Amino acid sequence: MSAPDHSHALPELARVEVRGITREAFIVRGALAAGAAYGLAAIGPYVHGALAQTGAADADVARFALTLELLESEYYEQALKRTPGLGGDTRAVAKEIGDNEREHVDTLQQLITQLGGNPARSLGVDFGDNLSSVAKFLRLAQTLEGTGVSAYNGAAPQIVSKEVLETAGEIVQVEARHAAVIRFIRDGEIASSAFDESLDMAQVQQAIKPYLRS
Amino acid sequence: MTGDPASRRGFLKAAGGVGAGGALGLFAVACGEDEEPKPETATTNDLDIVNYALGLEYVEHDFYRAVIGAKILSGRDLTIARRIESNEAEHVKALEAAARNLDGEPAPREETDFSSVLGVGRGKVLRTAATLEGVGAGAYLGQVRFVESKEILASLLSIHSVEGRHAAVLNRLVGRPFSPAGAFAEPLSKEQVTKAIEPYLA
Repeated sequence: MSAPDHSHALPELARVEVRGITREAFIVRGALAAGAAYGLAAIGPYVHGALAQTGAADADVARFALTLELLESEYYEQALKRTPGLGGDTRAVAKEIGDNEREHVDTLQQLITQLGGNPARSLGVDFGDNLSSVAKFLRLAQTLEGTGVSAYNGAAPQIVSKEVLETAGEIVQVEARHAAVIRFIRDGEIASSAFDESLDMAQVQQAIKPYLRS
Repeated sequence: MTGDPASRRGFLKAAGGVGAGGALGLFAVACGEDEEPKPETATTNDLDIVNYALGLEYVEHDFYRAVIGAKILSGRDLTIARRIESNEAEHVKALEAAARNLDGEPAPREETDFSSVLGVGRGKVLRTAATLEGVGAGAYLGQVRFVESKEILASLLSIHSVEGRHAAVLNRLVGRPFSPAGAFAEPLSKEQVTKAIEPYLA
């Protein structure tokens, strides 16, 4: 990303003009932290219109992804509080993964807001017995991370905006890293196959349903 | 152009054989046309992207075959290397098939030379593997926004995430963070990738 042009009356708009609407960071994480500075009112009507067009499909994907990230984020947060014996290196990994998921949540919430939606702030979850031991925690962690990879891979081809697609790619690679590290700690295979499968939204909903409090 | 000539010569070799500095210079020569260098965004098509990925997979695959053949690793390290080698072999096959499905020629396999790494020992081998996988994952990620076909995108993503898995585990083996870029992986440009891979091309 180029440095903002502070000589311009509207530095954000200068950046958009220089790079074109398909390249710049007004949707992407980090830039979104500026929040107020990137209110859509600051951006020209053409850009706003283009954004509104791509918004609907991408907002659906983002909402779907947010549910998963909230689920994962909650999972690690609860594990760190409750899972007996979760210490040492495994705890450090769990903390790092949980921090990553929290960042994913923040970014997706900002993205949904930018796309004109109202993002979920929390999720009712119930992990049952799965946090009662380190072994159980790791087993479900592996499943959740793998489901996340397959969900993003399944949803990505529907994404319209190239920025949103790239962000999804940045996230899914990290989810895959999570999945592999968990497998590694459990001493299993690092990947179940040379190709990570895709799941559609319905399949993902099915997979996570047991952990959502109805 | 329907297919970048570099796709047929092998992107990496074409890029590596040119003295011109910078990605734009490389693309100008690779296009084989006497015109303004095109920015990376403008002209790559799905065949170019598939062949670019294939070129990387050839390098990775060669690396693991060389490492396994040189009998440098043992125990869990070796098990992991074998698993990754097998994955890369499948990636090669899938990308060759993808190139043909796009009515193109798969890029030729570049000759590689890992002697600078193999002679040093386990640590160097695993660090190199970790770096290569990270570069591979970043390379795929750097291209997703340019892919036109949804089917090709789905295929590339199914490989991309596995490269991420490889990178994470290898990083763990050598004491590096499993995700050096943090919560969001880093897309790499062709220039960055070429620079990282070039030392291993014969």
